[in-house]
Amino acid sequence: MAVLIAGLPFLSNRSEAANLQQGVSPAPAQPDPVKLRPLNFPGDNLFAAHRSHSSHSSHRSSSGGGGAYPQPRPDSDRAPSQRGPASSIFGGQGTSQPVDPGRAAPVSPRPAYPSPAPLSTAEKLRLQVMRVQIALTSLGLYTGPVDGVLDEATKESLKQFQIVKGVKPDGLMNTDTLNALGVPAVQ
Amino acid sequence: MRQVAATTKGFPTRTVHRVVAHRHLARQWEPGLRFLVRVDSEAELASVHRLVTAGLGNLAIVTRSADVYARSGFPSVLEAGGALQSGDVVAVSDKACRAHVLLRESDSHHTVFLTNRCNSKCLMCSQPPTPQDDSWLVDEAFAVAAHIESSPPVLGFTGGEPLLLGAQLREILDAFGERHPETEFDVLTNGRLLCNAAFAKNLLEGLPHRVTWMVPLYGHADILHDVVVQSPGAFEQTIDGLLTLQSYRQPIQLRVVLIETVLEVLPELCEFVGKNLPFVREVALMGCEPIGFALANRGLCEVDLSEWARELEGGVRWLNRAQLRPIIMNVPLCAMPRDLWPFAHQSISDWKRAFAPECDGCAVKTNCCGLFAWHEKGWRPTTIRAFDGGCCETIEDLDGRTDSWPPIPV
Repeated sequence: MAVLIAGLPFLSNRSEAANLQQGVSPAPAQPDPVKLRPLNFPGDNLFAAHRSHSSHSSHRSSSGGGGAYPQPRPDSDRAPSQRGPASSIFGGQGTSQPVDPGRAAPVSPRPAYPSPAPLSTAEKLRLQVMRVQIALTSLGLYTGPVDGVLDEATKESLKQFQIVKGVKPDGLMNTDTLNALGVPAVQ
Repeated sequence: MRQVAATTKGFPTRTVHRVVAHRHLARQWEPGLRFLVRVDSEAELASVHRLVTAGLGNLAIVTRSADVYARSGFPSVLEAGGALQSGDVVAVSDKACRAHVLLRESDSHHTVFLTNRCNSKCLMCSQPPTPQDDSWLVDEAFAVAAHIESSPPVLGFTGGEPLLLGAQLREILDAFGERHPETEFDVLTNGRLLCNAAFAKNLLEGLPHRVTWMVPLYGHADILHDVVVQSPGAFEQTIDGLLTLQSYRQPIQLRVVLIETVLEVLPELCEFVGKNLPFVREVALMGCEPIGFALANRGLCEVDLSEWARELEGGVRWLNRAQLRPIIMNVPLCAMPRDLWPFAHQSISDWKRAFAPECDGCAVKTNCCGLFAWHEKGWRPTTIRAFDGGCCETIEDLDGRTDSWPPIPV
């Protein structure tokens, strides 16, 4: 069974996968021609409304392989942050300016790199909207600010794009639209 | 470090960027990162210009077109010479007429340079240390961690002496570890500062086992090792550091650079390792890189390795007897006895590897580590000669013999 579950992400039919997980033996499957994996599966898209799903079978249990929602990492995974003050023999503590003239230019103060800690849902939504706005801007369909706000102008541009691509023009960032734009869903 | 000649504008300070194809910007964009967008046409330039106007402040462009470069109103890189690739992590500054490629996905070896300071002065140091405070490299390392797009399988940290970073080394390891959970890390260090128990605890406690510590050892007694690293007391500190690493169950690779002083005692050194440091994972026997201090100490560092075959075989025999894995690095196949071929690794980084004209037509060229690109300025590890495909076994034939070789007299 473990082998079967490990193989699940390769099954092309998700409801079949769901059946398997529930212990229902499927009809012997014909060998399928290779199917390309779409950029995003429906379950990947956190911000698709339910109307974008054809059925609830796509809500997979995350107990199988390739769950849509990342498992939260227990805090104990984190390295303990016991760091005593470094002794002076260790020299500088970062954010110095290069003093060696052979060493190119001064550096700006250390920028705050986004922590790899999971983003909040609001942050994910903002990033996803910004990526969609970038894609629409690159296509020349959107001229407003790239600000992560799904406002009327952005929705209008999305509708235009959906019309061009033959997707239902609802102005929403559903999975088909993201795939057509080439924007991966923010996980 | 790989460099690409370039003209730049709009980079008053040295900043790290990720190179991205224009069509992939939407899928990779993140706040907080900086992107060098590949722009090859007026239309793409206009598109990037719209994005900058729309509020994206972290975009710059890289182009081959002088025209596009001249018309661009934001930070821009004009390639002259080599090309940057998508996914490259690049440091750009207006004061340098080049872009430094800090990491390239297609390379097989990835290293992050943490400091140029060191507490040893090894006779054959390929990267002679400088005393200045260069902790800006630490900032840059954090930036590199964030800008790598696809995690490499293995990533090395080098210097200088990374332990001189103190507590920041742990912060760097954590930053890379969190962003690249599948990557394994190597740290090149002399291990000397690990003799300080409090320091070792801060660095190693709770550290996952994904870090391999690569520690050089040049002799089995202080008078031997301390001379090579030109630092009194270094042998005791390094041995203490190795035992500390083992007490934290950290994987260790010992590194032995094959200069004359070391080759003279190589079998004894390997015996010492086998008997006293049996917990190390492997022992790398490495050809000397003809650069840096090695050029200044040429008399001690320049050896024709084919004249030291007995010592090499003797050392490998001791390691095998202790069931330690020998790895021979930076030594072309023609410089070692054929019995040692199964232990040879293609260890020279892509950007510094070269072959001699004599290598053309060699039957084992594809299995060979080649030469350091700067061997012309220094020396060759031996008289280079090509192997004829008809006369020798291929290296694949030899691979299976790794376990059984050499026959050990009981």
